[in-house]
Amino acid sequence: MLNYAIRRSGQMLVTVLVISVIAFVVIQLPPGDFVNSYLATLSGGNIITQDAIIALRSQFGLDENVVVQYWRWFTNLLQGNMGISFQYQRTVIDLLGERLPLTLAITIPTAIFVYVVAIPIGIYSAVRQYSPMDYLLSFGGFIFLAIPNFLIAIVAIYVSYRYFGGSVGGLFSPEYELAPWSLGKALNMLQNMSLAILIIGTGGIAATMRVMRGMLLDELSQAYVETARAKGLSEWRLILKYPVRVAVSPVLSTIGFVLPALISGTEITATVLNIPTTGPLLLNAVRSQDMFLAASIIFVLSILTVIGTFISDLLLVWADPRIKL
Amino acid sequence: MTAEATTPVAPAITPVSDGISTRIISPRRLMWWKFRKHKLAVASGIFLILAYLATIFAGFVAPYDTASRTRNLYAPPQGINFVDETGQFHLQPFVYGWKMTRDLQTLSPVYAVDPTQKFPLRLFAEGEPYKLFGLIDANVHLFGVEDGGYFHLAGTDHFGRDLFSRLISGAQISLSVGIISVFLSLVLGLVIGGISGLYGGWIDNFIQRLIEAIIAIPTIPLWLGLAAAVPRDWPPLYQYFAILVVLSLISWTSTARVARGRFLALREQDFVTAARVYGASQTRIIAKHLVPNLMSYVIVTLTLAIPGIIIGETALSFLGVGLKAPTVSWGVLLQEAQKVQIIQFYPWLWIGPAACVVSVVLAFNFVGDGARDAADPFSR
Amino acid sequence: MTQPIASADPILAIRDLKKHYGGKKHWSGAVSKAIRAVDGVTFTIYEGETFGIVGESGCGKTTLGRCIARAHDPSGGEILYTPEGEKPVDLAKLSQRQLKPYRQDVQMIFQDPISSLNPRMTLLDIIGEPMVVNGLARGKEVARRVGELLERVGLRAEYMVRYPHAFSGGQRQRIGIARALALNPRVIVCDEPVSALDVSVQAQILNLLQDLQAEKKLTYLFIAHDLGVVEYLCDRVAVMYVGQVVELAETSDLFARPLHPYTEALMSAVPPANPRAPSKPRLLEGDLANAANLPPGCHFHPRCGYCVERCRTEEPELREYSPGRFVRCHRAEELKLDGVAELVEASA
Repeated sequence: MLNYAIRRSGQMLVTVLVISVIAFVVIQLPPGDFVNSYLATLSGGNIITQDAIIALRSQFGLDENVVVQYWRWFTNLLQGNMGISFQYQRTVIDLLGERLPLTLAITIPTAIFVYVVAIPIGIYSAVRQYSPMDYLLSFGGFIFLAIPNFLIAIVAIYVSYRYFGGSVGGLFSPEYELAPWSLGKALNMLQNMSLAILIIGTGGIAATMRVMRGMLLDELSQAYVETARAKGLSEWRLILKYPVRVAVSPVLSTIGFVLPALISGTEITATVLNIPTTGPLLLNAVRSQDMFLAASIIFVLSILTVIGTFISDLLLVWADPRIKL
Repeated sequence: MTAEATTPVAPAITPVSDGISTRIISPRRLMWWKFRKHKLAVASGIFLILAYLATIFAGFVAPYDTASRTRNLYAPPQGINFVDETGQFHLQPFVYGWKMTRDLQTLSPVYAVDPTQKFPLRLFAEGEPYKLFGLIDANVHLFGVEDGGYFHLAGTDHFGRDLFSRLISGAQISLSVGIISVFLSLVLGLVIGGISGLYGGWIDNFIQRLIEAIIAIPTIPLWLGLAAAVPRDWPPLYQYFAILVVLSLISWTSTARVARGRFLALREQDFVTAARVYGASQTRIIAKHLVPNLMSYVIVTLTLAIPGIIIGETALSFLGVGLKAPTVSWGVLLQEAQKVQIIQFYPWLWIGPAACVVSVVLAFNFVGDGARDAADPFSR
Repeated sequence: MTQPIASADPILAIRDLKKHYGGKKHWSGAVSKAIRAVDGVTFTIYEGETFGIVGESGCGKTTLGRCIARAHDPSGGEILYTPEGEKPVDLAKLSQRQLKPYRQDVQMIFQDPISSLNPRMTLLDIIGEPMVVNGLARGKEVARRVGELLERVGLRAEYMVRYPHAFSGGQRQRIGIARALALNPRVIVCDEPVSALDVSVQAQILNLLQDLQAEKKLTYLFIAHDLGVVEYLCDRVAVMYVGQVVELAETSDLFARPLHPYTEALMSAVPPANPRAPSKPRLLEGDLANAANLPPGCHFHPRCGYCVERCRTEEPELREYSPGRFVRCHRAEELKLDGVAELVEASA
């Protein structure tokens, strides 16, 4: 097990390296370098002084060739120096520190939500194949697969306006916006977050449910299930004990794809719903070509995915005795 | 063999015997038969073909020009009626005109159905001039109303532009992006996946790590990052291609994985070994033995990837970093509908493009599902 | 059982052939364990004979066959092929381009009827491609020859427009045979061609192979794990264990009185024709030796019922026990092993 963990860590590092290169490419893509962009937006009363610019130039080697720049940027990154956002006049790591926790607070519960809901639905759908409920669920699954998160968010806004007269969006409703912390405010925040989680989760649930259903259907036709039945086990008991455990394993391993999709969905849904995660931050950064901020967000989000996948892989290997190390 | 009363296809056949005619069933035909069984997939396929036809004949299908403004600003969709207010049935459908007033508080236009204005609908009506395929002058449209009337199947926007026409215009961009982008990723994916699967070793390792890394990066943030590179001042056509490239750069990975998997599996098949033993060259083996046996899987992957691309372009344009006005795509239309009052009071302006995206994506998903079932015609 | 076509000309001489997998140096400095699939195999095949190779799954016989047909590249050793009226050529050392003219002479038929034919090609393409690739025929000539071949293997010429999925397992094997014959080879490596077929169909294919051999003066390298089939078809047999030949003899000799304990165990597993006669299979303990982790001394010693101290330490050589009989065992002279009595009686 330890060997496996070490080997996977090695792979993970390579992946992280490749990601860092891609993120760096993102920084370099827009024409001109960062400092020029910054200078172009200079206005009076700046907190960041000329000295800081010169420091920046030398720190990141902006006058030298690309490979050196990459190396400087990466080593700085590892030490926590991710550069400066000229748009917000603050260090990137500052901004990230503000926004990242909320991103995580939404994404992680969504991931749990997706699997907690999709797996039982998938199991039910497979066991009661061709029943009306199965058709309904499959059809619903297809529909939600087709509707991207941000559209659902728009629909949600519309519905709330039209029928509930309420305003949906933002982390807090207007009345709690500037109020001091209280139970009511916390509840309100949870409420808004829950809506976001619900919206982001639909696509993941739809996809995972279908995978679960498919995997379980494959298992249910196997001979060992009939054997268990013949031996007299009650239906649900035997299903949960045997084929489900076999079928769940590949479903859980899809987290490598689900997690990036969820993060992606969080970003864009949060942008539509005006929730202050890294989503709106990234969008603004991209619009104003604030590239250090943009690339750092991309990098950090990707690392989250890699770590998340790594943890789930370890859990999977530990839980599934069939996987040989 | 099926006992159908069809004549044998290959002329080299001498009829077998006893009235049972045979038809050569190739694996391709088997796949088609299996696909046909999936009714939803077939229906979706027809829908998509019609949709793509509409984009080719856009000027003809759309009743109005994309940019022409009318008097009725923010007009809701007009329903098609067959029965008029007196209960009388008309064979020729018609629409009612609007009577416009203003809401005194918000100053926004309010439309009420005006029974006194009836505009009969006609097929192949004459309307605004346009250029078919951008070359031929014409002014016949698929449907329209007579002079003086107006017909907005999907309503109008804040300039009075007909939304339905704009949706069709948007379809040209949104749908073509899907197809072309997927074609690019087909080529990329096949080549890279092929190299990975056929040569193995450190190249394979390296490419696999690269693919893993790309998959790990959340798509929309990555697209955002890449889209930032597209200069603002580029002409719309360049921007279109740039967005195309950006979208393809990510989506080739799934094709590459599928291709690699199939190459690896096929490499070990005995018929490939046999080909080596009778002296077929590596090129020949790849072209005649390997590629035909993986095309079906690749096609399935591509069909299922198109929705992702279409949603991607829509999302990017919606966020304002993809295509922009005056280019018309569904994403751009959604972006224009982002003002609060629009969402609330003139919902057709976002329901229109949203419905288009959802229905096209659904259709591709169904077709992909059917294709997946058909791709392995010998399974079960 | 046919009389072997007596011919003393060697057509394929295999000398110390090796095929190792792995054993490569990783960039970290570690060396992965080599899997010695074929570990120094030596024998000679004479023109016109049917030379059998038997062994358990995993003993390396399939790999051996593929190396000889040059589907794989051997890691070492020689494959000395004697073309008609010429001097022997070492096929193992030739590059792909140099190999091309000789490929026509050595062809192969495969075990799995499903994976041995490209599902996307018609029979015409499948059987015709070898001809086209080697420049033997073009266009209509290809169709004519393919038709002839199909008829020769017991199918109808008009089938050439059909696809493999329309045929049964036995028919597919016939198609495979037709493909192998397309280049008019002199040697055919038969890699368990009937293992995947029903018994009744097996007999048909075996008879077809025999007829073809007599008609076209073919030499067969026949790989199998079914001793009954081997006994029926082969003139001489080599028994393989974990990459090495442990015994080599004429079929009747081998079956009447095996010299190697492993051969004896294999024989004892052949069920007697009389269901009431008691069968005494000599059961082997343990698993097949791991090709990556071979035991010291004789590879077979952990499972051998006749093992002594010498067997544990000293690896035996393949030596000529009597003219034409080879065995790899220290105790061959002492042991009196049982063969398959009935087969001996039947051939007497």
